[in-house]
Amino acid sequence: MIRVSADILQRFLAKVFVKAGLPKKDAATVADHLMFCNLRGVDSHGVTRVPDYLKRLKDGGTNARPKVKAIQNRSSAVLLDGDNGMGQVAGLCAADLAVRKAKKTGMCVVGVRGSSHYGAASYYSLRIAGSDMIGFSTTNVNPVMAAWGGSSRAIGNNPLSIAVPGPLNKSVVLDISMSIVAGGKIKLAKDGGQKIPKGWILDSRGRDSEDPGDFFKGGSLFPFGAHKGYGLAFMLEMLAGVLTGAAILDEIPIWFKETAAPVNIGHLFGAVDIGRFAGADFFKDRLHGMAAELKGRTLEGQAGAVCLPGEVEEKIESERRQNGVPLGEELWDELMKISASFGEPLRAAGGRG
Amino acid sequence: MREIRIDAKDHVKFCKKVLGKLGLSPKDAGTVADHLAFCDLRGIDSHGIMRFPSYVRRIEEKGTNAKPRITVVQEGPSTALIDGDNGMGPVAGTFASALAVRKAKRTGAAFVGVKNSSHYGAASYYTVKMARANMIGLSSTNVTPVMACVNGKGRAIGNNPLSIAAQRKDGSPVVLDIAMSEVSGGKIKLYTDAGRKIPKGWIVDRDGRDTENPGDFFHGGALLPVGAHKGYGLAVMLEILSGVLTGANLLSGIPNWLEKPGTPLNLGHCFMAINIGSFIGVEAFQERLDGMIGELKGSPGKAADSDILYPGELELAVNAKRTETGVPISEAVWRQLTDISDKYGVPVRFACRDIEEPNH
Repeated sequence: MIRVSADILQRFLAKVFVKAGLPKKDAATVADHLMFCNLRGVDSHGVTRVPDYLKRLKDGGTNARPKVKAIQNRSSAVLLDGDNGMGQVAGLCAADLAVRKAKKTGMCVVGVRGSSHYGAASYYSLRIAGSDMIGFSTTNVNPVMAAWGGSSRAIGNNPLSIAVPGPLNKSVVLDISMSIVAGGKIKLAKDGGQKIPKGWILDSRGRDSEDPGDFFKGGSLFPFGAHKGYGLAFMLEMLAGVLTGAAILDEIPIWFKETAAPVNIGHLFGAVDIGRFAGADFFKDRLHGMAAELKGRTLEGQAGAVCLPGEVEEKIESERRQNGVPLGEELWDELMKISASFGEPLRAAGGRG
Repeated sequence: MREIRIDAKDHVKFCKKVLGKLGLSPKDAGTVADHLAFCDLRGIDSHGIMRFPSYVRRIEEKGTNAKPRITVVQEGPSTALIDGDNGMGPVAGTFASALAVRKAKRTGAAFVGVKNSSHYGAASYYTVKMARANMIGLSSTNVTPVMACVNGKGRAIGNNPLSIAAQRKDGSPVVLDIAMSEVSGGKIKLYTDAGRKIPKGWIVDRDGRDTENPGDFFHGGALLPVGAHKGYGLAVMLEILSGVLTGANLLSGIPNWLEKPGTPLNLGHCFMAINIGSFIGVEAFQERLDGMIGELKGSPGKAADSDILYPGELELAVNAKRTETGVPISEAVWRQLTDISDKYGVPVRFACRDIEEPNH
């Protein structure tokens, strides 16, 4: 395990993405997003994705200099085309637009098509919450999950994030995918040679399996709460894909395999101005009371306490800001290769350890 | 043993007339009756006519206001905050969802919050209405705490529902309507009545321990959130949207609407309407939605006898059947409805037939 200072890593990534062809501002956005993920422990959407992102830019699957444009533009609803650029670029543009419009009308929904992998949904919802608004964010992703009653990869485990501003500048943020567990967790179990509980995945023939390897041989993730997670994934596919005119279901290529193919996935963002309702101060006060009441329900003698959504990630962030972002040896070697080929130096916090 | 059914039209007529006698305006009485029939026809029995006696009692005891003056407290081009004046939930809910649609027609999307309301029944009643106006409708409410937090004990938070709906080309709704608990309290009741054990993971007992005894739920136990932190997290965010944002009561501040029929509830709801015409357009949307459903249904099924359904498909089938055959009601509910019929002098017609006792 190697620890790297988040600031150093972020500066490095911003420079690398400029050299990969992105405008300076867009490169900064992508680097900021990647560090957000690594700092908050959402490692699956962090630096680990950089080699694939760069490959897509090199192979032409992702447009380094997209012109994001509005296809429809009304006072509280906008449909954007991401011009096949990086998802983080179109995503941030859309989230900021939602905030600007919601300041005028009270709320706004922005849909995006022609985009690609946008990383962690909570990056955008938190951005919206930063303006004293309720932020919503979702995207469709390539199919990895079985339909309820189905046996094969039929639909993405589409994420949903909702964020609200809290007292003392602490936000409450939910960011969940619609599968019981993420593919990354199955990979960890496989690498560790562990069995997984029944109900997490189906094998390629639609049978329950305890062997994590089966997922990578045509198996599929299982929705959380059976018809509940499936139904939510369906509705999010409808909001992010059908409503925007983006690709849906098996029209979506596997972005890290088909690196020369445009992905054309869709996202949807919502901003609701709290000032038009209870008002930000009153809202934060009541949220503070609600948090205290829920925490008072902690069951004694348990390993964990009652937490609010996002609290665990916030603790990880403060630890990692102090001690640096942990990276595996393999990933570090990849970054060293990128460092050499782009001519951008990168050093670990306390040397390799 | 008797099987008792009530025809959907008689159902609406009876409820509407009784509510009229209780002081509701004809329009409001019609709305509430329509809501109850919607639930019963679609198989959402727990929010249908079985709740009618409790609704009646709350109005009799003045816990619910029969003649609310619904007011718009704050309004923007795409938002509104509504005060339900402690009237029936479906009255405020219908007003708010219609307002969201009107605003979204002008601006592309709208969000309406409600405070000072009461039990609004099935969230899908409102989203389906919004869907009929070529919107994607979203709705939620907070409810009396019945669910434990992850790592917690006791009934800390409601199993707040979330509904999302859109309309297909043939006019049928695609509609999700789910509560954030693993199973509903109604299901626990069924297991209790049948003397059956429940699987671990559905509830915890009063001390926060896993239990397979459904009776523990009724002795201070609590439902468990679906998908652990996922359902819990969603319930928290929905409580924030319906309760914190609107200024309504929240968590333990919400009285139990069944046990305290004389106390106002001050529940909150929220509604969002997204105008499909402001995005890809209704025609293209419905075509793509039908295509998506077709593709999902065409994916290999788990077993020969299992079908891949789209959200709301099951309810649609129940709706077709019950429109034809009437709504089944239990003997206990039948007795309560007969009492109400006598008390308010509103005749009610049931179809009863004796059926053979099933062999156990």
